[in-house]
Amino acid sequence: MGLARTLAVRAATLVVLLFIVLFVISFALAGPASKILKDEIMMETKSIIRQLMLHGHYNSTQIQQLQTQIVTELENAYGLNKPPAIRTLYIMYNMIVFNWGYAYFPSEYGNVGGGKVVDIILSALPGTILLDTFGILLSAFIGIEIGLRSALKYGSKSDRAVMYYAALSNGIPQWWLGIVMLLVFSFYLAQIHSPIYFPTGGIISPRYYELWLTDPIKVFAIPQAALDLLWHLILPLVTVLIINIGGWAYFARTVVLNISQEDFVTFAKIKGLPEGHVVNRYILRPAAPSILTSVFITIPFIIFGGFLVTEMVFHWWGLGYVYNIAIVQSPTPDLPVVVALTYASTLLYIVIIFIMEIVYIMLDPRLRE
Amino acid sequence: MGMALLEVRNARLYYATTKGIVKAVDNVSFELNEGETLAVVGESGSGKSTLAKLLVRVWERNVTLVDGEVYLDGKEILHIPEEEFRKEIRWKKIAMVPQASMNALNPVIKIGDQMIEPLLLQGTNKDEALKMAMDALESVGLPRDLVNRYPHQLSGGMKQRVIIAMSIMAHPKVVILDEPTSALDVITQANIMNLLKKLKWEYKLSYIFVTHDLALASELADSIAIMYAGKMVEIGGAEDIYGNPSHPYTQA
Amino acid sequence: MARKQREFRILGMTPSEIVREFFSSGTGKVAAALFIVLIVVSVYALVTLPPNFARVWNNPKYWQLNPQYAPPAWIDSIMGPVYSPQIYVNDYTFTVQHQDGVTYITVTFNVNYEYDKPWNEIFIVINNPAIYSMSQPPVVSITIYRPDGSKITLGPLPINTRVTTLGVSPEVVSQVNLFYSEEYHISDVVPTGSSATPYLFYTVDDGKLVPLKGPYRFTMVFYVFSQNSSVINRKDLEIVLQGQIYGLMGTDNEGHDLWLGLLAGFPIDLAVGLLSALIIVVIAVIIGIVAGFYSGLIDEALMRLTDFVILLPAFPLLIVFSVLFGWSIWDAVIFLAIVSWGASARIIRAMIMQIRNAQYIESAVIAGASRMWILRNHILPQIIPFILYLLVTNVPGAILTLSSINFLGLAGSDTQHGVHYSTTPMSLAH
Ligand SMILES: Nc1ncnc2c1ncn2[C@@H]1O[C@H](COP(=O)(O)OP(=O)(O)OP(=O)(O)O)[C@@H](O)[C@H]1O
Ligand SMILES: [Mg+2]
Repeated sequence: MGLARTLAVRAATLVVLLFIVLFVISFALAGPASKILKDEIMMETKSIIRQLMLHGHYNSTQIQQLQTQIVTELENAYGLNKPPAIRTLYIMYNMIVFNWGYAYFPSEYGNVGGGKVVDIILSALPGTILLDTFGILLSAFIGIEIGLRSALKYGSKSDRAVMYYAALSNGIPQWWLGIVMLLVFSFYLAQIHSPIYFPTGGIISPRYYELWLTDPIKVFAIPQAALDLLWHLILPLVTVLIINIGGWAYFARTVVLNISQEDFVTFAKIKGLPEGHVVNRYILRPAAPSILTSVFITIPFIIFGGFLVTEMVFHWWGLGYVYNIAIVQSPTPDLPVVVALTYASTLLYIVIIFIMEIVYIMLDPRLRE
Repeated sequence: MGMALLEVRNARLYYATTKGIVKAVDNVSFELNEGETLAVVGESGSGKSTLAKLLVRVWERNVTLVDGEVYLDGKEILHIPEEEFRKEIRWKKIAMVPQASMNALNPVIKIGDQMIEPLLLQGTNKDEALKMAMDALESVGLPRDLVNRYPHQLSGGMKQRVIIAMSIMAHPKVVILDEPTSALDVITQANIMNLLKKLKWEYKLSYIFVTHDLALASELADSIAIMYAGKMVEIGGAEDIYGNPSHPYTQA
Repeated sequence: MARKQREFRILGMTPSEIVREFFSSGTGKVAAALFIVLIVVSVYALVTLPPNFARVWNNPKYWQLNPQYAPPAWIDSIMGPVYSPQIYVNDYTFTVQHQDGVTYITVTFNVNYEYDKPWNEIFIVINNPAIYSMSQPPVVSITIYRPDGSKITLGPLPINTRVTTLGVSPEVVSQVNLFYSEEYHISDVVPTGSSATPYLFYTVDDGKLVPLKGPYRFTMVFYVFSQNSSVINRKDLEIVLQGQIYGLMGTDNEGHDLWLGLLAGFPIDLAVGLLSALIIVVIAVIIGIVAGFYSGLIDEALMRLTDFVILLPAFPLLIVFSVLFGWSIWDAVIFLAIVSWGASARIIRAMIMQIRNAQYIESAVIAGASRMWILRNHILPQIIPFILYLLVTNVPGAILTLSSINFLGLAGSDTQHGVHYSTTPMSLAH
């Protein structure tokens, strides 16, 4: 079938893209960046040796021997003894089979400290999904609704107000608004002894933290814990909404304005269809594919440009915050985490794009054959 | 002389543009009897389509003035509330096939669904409505299974015929046809003209037939009106005008 | 009306309509206005800030007299006089006397204390190394006459550094504690580790410390053990009362004046934004024109490339590369620009295809017009407004992205031009 073929071609393109990204990262790691890897191996070795010295008595030659032994072992483990080409393939293979190694994450981040990279990323995934899906869907929903109303009242005061808001929100960095929100609704409110003030960040209260990291589903089973999670979600979510609704509104308004000039909309009115019906079936429905196109062009920007940084501001345990910890909180960048995160987010991104393409094809009959 | 089905008196419709007011329809009056066809002829930009839009009360945002009276069966309909006009008159009594009607179909909805939409909203049940749609398609010479297709799968002429089929499905009293054959080859054009004639007899329809083509107009029309710069400069029996034109446009 | 010609449209608008729409819409006006503001402020910053501002910014000594983490000064005008402002004492009397081989310099000044939160600290700055590095350094003793008639005497303190911090010297702390225990029978008012300075402006009411508002008179006597009368000049002496609020935007943990930081960020931001927008537009225009002009294989190949670039997940790649290769801000910006031209190139290509296929161009080609001629006379005039639009819309975008990069702590934010981007929330301006 034609449809299956189209989808297969898109899927193949995306897989090739994923492979290229993977190759580039692995090659960078294997070649130009292997010095960093060596440095990190040295650091790891030193900490192992320090541990050993605490527990046993070794003389200096023994230590020397141990050190070289550990270094070669680790180098072998990282494939550093092989030529760059092999090493690249080796890294690629490990990435694909989710063998992402161990993180040297600072231990203050709960039980994930020093754990497997896969575990850390898995533990951060629900947080990102919660904030991002909720954030994107809700802001798109509200924004499109506003933009639609705005377009139907083209030129009115409220329409202009919406446009200025859109322009403004388009220019404010999300993280900056996040800081302001924290200052006002958490810090200042607490300072003036307001009975209600928001948490200064975090994804959930410390007593549920452990549970969230190990079994997020269970959190939703405990009403208090779920409420607590929502309570923590409010500020970041509001930040995300304020920033993103404007863009959606602007976009939806443009699309709607343009589609309402199409002949088929006029004809729908001539047919005597009620206004709500015209809006839904003759403006919004045909607009859906172009709205979707724009969604999938902007999603990476929304996620990587906005949400990741917002997670950091609110210490929201998600991929962005983990990225940040891996980059700046450790003495040297936590390479395994950074690299695995990059791969994981590319993977996620490609899956999202593919789903979008399917939806797009489903929405537009012209593309179906 | 009995009461006319449709009577238009001193109708005016002006547009506001950056270059000033455009008097697209300016003091137009005419009558149309049941079962009769009025052809509206005129050069491009003379206000024919605007007149049609005025009659169905669907016009652009930049309209500044709408004035005059329109009587349908003796009842004034230009100034009744919009919602009443939509429910009682539009499409049920006055249907319209717009100019460039091949763009008038929604690209993401199946032909059949678009055809039965007004009926469903009136409470007809779906199967019955679909059957009516297929009959209508058949009567304009299209296959019945077109109901399951999307507009992009049809040729331009087929789309125009679908719109015509839609317009007669509602059994209106007046059908306004705004250059319904402009984009078609001569053979299809002739087919559609024959179809219109047939439908006219079958359903006792009254047409307002907008065209550039005087010869085509005289084929279907009982009377012909000539528009020039928003005004109706001449109106009379089809034979009179075709045989003995008095306005320079008609002579050309 | 003439029949619509089939032409290239995005969301039903032709590119030239988009441009017109954009610049006439609220959004477009705001964007264009902000762009102009950005340019004006950048010029202002370049003119007013010292040319080596980056070095000044990284020199902690320069900022040491400022309060840390202070809120902006204008909050007093909202909340009433609550926080003491930063005061550089200028109108003091300065008298010099010589006696027995010692020079006595008496400095007196008044300050009016009308706030709830007193000054953090009092600094005596001598801008003459010859004085504070003397083998026998000068000493200063200070008498404070308080509004309630009481007086506190502090010192003598040795002046052996450029900046003498009054409140932290153990001697002063014990003198202030002594004052409180004698006057109000409270011992150890100054918590250990804190400065004694704020306690100069308190009194005790009902067993509690409350601010003592009113005029204060300071008399400082410097004893310089040298006959040379010119040894302390009036111009060498600076007296600074460190406030709890500062400047237009407050300070950070190092006392940096954030307003100046913000100002200094503008030209860099503008440069970054322009550079990135320029790269994007240049690549997009070249690829768009080439692809639009040469149909066939070249076009096909370029469009595949464009599709690929559009899909590329730029941000994660940026993160991994900056970590691996220790990229600077500029590297990051260039990288982002190089992978962000896809959508624009596609639009330009479509515009060119449409222009090229227009009737009048085809007839010109038949009449023997060259490609260059068509490019110069028909294509460039039509795409230049669009290029302008791309530039104006891309600059703020690039700056926003830049602020995110900084915020994530990527790409050597602390070394680049010495200005801490993370503390200059510049992009506020867009
Ligand atoms: N929305 C509008 N705004 C301003 N002027 C308009 C608008 N629509 C039509 N006009 C102008 O009104 C006049 C009549 O237009 P109209 O479309 O009715 O002409 P027409 O007789 O149908 O022409 P054609 O045979 O080309 O279809 C023209 O001068 C046209 O330019
Ligand atoms: Mg017309």
